[in-house]
Amino acid sequence: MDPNSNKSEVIFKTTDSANNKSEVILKTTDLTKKYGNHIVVDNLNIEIRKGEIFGLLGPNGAGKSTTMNMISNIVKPTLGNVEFKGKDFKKNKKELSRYLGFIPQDLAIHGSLKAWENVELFTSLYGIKGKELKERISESLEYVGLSDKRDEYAKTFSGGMKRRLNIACAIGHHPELLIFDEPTVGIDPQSRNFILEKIKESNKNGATVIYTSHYMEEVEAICTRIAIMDNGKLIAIGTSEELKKLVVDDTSKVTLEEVFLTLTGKNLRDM
Amino acid sequence: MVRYLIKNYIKMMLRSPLTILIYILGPTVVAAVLISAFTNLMKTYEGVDTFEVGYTIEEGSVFEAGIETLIDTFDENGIKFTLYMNEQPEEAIERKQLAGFVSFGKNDYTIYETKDTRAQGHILEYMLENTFETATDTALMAAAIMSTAQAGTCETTNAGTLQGGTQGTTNAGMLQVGGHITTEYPEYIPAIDSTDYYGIIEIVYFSAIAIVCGAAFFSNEKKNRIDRKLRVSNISGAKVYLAKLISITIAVSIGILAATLVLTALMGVRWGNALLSAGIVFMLILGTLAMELFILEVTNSMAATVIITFAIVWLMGFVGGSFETYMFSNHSQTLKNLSPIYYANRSLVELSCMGQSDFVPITLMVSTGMCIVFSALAVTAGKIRRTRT
Repeated sequence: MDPNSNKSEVIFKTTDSANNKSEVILKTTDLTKKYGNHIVVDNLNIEIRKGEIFGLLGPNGAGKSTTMNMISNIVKPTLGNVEFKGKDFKKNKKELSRYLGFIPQDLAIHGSLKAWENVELFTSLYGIKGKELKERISESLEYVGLSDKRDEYAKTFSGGMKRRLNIACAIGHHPELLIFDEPTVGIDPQSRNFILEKIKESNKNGATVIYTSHYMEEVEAICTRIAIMDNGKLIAIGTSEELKKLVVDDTSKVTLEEVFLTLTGKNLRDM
Repeated sequence: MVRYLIKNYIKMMLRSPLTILIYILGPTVVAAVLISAFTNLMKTYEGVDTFEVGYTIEEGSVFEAGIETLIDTFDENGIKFTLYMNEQPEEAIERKQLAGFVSFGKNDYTIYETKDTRAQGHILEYMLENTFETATDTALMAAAIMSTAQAGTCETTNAGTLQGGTQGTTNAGMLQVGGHITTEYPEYIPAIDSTDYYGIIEIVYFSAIAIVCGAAFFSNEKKNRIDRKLRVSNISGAKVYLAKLISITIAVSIGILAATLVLTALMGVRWGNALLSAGIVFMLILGTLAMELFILEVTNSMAATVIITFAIVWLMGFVGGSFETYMFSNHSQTLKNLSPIYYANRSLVELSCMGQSDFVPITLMVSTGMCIVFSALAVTAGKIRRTRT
């Protein structure tokens, strides 16, 4: 593979062997999204198994966010479907959405609400109320280290605190599948480390995680399996080691970022 | 789950300084300015207490025979009609502080009015015109009666309307010239002063632009793509719409109530039936807000929604009851009927000055209808928009 090539036309084969005995929690079949004649996601077929931290990588415009949005039922696929817990997600949205926690790239919080009010608003959307809701609010804020800031307005928070609050708002209903869309953008190393540790902790506690980021070292550090997308297509999938082996035999001599650049090319992606 | 959405949406709106500024200070300041600016204009339509009018009459004038009757009729209607022989009208008005002067010639009369007492001048003109018209009719009828040699009582009804409503005038005098003639005036709408009128219409106006209260919150929701997070959950679009409709209505109602209390306490705006008036305003907020939320769903732009809302509300106010069309009634009745503001404004104004209004049921029906129709349209439009993404 020429690292300087403009565009990857090859779908790289990997063994895709990690966790292959685990239950499939989410499966996309021929998932396609078109806007007019522009194909944003092209026949995506992936299986995510229970207990995984699944990394989704790709340059800007690769179709990662659209894929996330289709998986989360925010965007309607043009073709194909998403199966969640063995059922068609679209047809069973009411039943299945409570198992899904979505942490968007945007800070989906209200600045004029206090920390606990933000968590209350989003957790209550899943039918949790009364005493249980209060407990979930405290639990979520404690989880992201914001218990002592619960009565402060979100608009007064630093970038890292807002990111943590963003997570707290998505975990109050105890989802089984957590989708993180670039959760560490624009924050300091301490906050980033805290968030990554919490993702690993959630995974240890039984949550399956889908994670997107442009920080390769993060993905390499926490993800059990990684998929690389480019131009709407899935071009490689496997563990970090498996992806590295696509480029060189001695995996210690190459980083995930080098693999990524080799597979997707070095040209700028101006969207 | 809607309860928590409503609760937090209300908190957000009430914590916004913009809300306080628009819904408490807005109506108060604008009404205060208009009340002050149009006090004199509206005085034209106010009720007038007793006032004095002078007159001179030429010897041999055709009006001599009826002058006593005229004095009695005027007296019954609070006008002191005093003879000032050998006086110049302008001088008499100036010297005696008269509201007007009538100079009776041989076959005609001239009315002198002052700019300061235009309302009294209008009443004077009206009274003279009607009295002599009646007298002419009576004379003709009396002649007819005499010619047929039929003795008895003849009763004629001469219906007239007091434009602008002069308080205290009901049955204008009985003029007996060979028969018993009763002149009756139908019921009229009493006058409203600038304080009540502008106090009421500003409350109506600000109630009709309720979407502004949610502008900051809607913008934040769009900017941070919070709507996407709502869509990930299992809450339906209809429930989110309902939460927004109810929360904005409550937040605006709180602001409007505060403004109303300030206007009532500081300016003395009267509401007649306070509870019914509050109900009308509440339903107006619901009805117009539903329309505005529908516009927001269609345009998906807060800025466009605010501009369209202001244009619609201004137009509805212009053709239907604000800008003094209630007083001057020059606009087409069809256009008025198309304006929801017309019904609300008219009901509230009539409740204020008469204590009751026949327009209340239709006002409530129009607002309820708007709320139901536009809510259905807004939910459908939102569903279509989400399906397309």
